[in-house]
Amino acid sequence: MSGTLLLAMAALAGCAQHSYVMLADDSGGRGAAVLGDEQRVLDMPGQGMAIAPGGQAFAVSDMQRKADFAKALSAQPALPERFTFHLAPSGELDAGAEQLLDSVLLAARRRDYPVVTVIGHTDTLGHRAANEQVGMRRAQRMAELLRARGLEAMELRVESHGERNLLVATPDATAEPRNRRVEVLVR
Amino acid sequence: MTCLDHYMRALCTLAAVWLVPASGSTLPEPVGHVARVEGAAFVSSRGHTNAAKVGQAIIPGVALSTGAEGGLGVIMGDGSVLSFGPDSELTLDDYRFAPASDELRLRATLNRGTLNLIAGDMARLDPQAIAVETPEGRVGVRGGQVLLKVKP
Repeated sequence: MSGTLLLAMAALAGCAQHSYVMLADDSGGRGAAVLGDEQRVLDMPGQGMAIAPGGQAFAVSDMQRKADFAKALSAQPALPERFTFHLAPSGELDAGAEQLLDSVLLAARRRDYPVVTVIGHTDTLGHRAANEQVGMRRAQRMAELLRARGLEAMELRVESHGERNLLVATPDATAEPRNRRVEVLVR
Repeated sequence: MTCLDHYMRALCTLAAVWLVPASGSTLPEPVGHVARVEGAAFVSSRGHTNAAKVGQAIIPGVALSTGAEGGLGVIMGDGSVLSFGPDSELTLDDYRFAPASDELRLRATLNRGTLNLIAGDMARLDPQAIAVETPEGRVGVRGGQVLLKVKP
């Protein structure tokens, strides 16, 4: 018991001297931090590493994490919400869209200063420039639909990522229904 | 009646045409906004420092800072979230989220304090896109949630 406490205190004292980074969540294996010339990789959740050259990975105790980051974490705003509308080959919205539209309106209403971004996406079939336009038209239609339903937002942005933001990775010139979609980000 | 309508519409169009380029040339596009403020928190832009307000636009080049008991949270265009504990200062050196033109970057410098960073869409599309400089070295964020502490 006292040994654990001593160890924890040693860890606290040892690391408090340095600037460090810790990985709090690895987002299902995709998250990591890389240091210096990308030679040092931090990919284990709960571990920290001094930022200065040569720092090794160490476990960050709950106590230390709380002492260092409780305030930064409590200042974290409500996370952005993302809604994905899939499109039929005809470009029409699918059957689940009605309910999803209501969810978007509700998410915006829950925020004091909602910023809503509507982003159109395509698959990789066709030319890149043409797909950017197709994505923009999809996003504009969705934005009109949201406005018609009475969406109130401090800012409504309409964008297209064309074929450059795929949900499912495919080679070029590939029809993939899951990539034909409109995303709405409420933040 | 219709004549008046047309006249009014023409006037409005004129006003819109005149106003849009005027504001467009002086105000850069916002790339994020302030989403949470606790106590003393500030946004500095072009030499002016103001108390941060929820809803306030963030543009590249701004400095975000907090005082002794302050906290601040911002959300960027790609959904990345940054929040700060007390006595912190970060400069947003560069930010661009435009997948259609292959431009993906969030470059910032944390001079002091604590930063909680949750990587957004940017990192999923390009794991090299997010990097935070500190006085002791550079931290690249490939995704997930990272916490940084920079000693003064």
